[in-house]
Amino acid sequence: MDLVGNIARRPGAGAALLPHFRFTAEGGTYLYASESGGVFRLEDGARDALAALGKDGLGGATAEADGGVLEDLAKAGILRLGERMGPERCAIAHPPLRLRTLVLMLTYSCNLACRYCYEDREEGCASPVQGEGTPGEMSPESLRESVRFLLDHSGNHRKVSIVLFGGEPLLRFPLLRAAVHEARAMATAKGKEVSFSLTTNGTLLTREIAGFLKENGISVCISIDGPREIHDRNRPYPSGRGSYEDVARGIGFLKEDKDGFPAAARVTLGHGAVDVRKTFDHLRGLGVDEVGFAPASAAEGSGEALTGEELDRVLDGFRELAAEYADDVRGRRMPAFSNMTQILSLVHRGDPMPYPCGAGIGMLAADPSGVLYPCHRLCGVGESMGDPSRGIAAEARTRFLDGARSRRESACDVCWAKNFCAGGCYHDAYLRQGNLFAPSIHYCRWIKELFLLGLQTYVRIQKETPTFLDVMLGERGIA
Amino acid sequence: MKHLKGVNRKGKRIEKEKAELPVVEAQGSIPFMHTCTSVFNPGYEIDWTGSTKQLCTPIETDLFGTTDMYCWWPGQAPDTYNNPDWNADCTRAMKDWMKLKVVKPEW
Repeated sequence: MDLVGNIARRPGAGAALLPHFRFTAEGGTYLYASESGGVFRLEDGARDALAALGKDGLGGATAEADGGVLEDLAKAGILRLGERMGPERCAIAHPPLRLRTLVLMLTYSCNLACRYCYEDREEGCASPVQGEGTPGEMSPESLRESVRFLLDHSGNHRKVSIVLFGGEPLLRFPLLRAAVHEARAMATAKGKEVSFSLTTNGTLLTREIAGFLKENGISVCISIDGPREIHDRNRPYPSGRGSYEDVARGIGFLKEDKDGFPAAARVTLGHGAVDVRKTFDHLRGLGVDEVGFAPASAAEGSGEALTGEELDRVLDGFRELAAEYADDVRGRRMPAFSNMTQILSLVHRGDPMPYPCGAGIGMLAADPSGVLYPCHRLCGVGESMGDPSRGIAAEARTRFLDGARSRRESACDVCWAKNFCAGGCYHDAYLRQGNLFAPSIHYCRWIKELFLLGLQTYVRIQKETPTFLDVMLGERGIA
Repeated sequence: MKHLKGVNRKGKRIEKEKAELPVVEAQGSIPFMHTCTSVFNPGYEIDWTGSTKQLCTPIETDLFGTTDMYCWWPGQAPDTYNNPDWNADCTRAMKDWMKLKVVKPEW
């Protein structure tokens, strides 16, 4: 499959073919229009016209394309017709800060020494624990101020969410417990609702802690990399002892009751351990309800970065899981491959995506001293976005979002997959290329393949079970 | 649309659109903005009395702020580059803004 897609080109004066991607799925030819976000099934006439446009430009297509094909393509956002002078783009203000999510870095300490951890100085990312003036533990006062900041800056969002993060947040369980109670009371007083999620390595989970998490409806994401041999290699204690047994026990506590709420696993794929299929099956066997994968972020040339061949193997695994995902949907079973859920929701809504994520827009992270950063990974990296006492650093935020948009508009503007990746993760770019705003070109091909897989799976699901996505996304509040 | 059939939510919406208007979205209407002003920011609607006086930024106060190439909200007013006379009949926006011409984009 040619993944180059069609870049914006100018077939004739005043007309332009806009970024789009043609793919086949379920025996049909489909089109993803990047500018509009629309997915369309192509009828024969449109297919021929599009092929002619790509080959000969507008002049070549006009003769064949009668019956309104060009108008249809224009309406879909694939073709721009007519003379259009003047600037291609207008300067657009960044969206205002309307917080939905605040990540609380309860601590920078961790009881594990994962080999790919980005908090490790050797990975090229300065360890914030040792940074000047950043004590590594969050105080109750700082926590309260951060929650107040979230509520004050959430605009008219009635629901906000707090992500309990670290380091290992369960090292601060008393603080975590207080955070949940206090934040809930503060939100109620403001007529808002707050939900919590916890990302943990799972080793410190006890029956009591699991009980607390369940009682309070805190969704739990456990970092676990697969079967014992893989997990222990990736995620040992500082002593070198593996942590698999402790994590598996922790998951057991979470799943003990029948009414236990869903637990998700987050798998980091490191060099030398990319058996997606095996890992997925293993984690499902442990009772995990959702499994998501991400390649380890690592500096170029470091021992942890996946090789091109490994990335291909990951994709092969993803293809198997995607097929199974669609089977599950058809069989009315809840699918567990969460990467696919995320892609499908993007495809389904078809919204334009000028930024790769909500960092600095709907989301901020508070480091242990309460200083705000665009996201948990960027704590201590780059400029701070302010703090609760002095408020948001508007200029720094603008610089950050300007940077994000500049790469999206320059390097990525002509890419058909721009609404899917929007340049990629800032932190990953920082580790790889030393620049938050460098487009993640090392993932371009991979990302496009993944998006294509998402598009094909989407078409299949819409054909077989057209109500599924509306129902699922509605339940998750992201429709 | 006869030749393309919408498959996802956006595609279906585009397919149903009656007017032959472009659907390429202005980047202002991005999914992160969930406020009441996501479409008409900064408030170029009318208020509950039917006037614009109570809006945060009534159109009269910023009408021409949206016409140049650096405007952050390109959908609000035609650019003067391509439509130099769009406001020819409207000499005093505060008084006769209803005489502004409707400009259909040429796409």
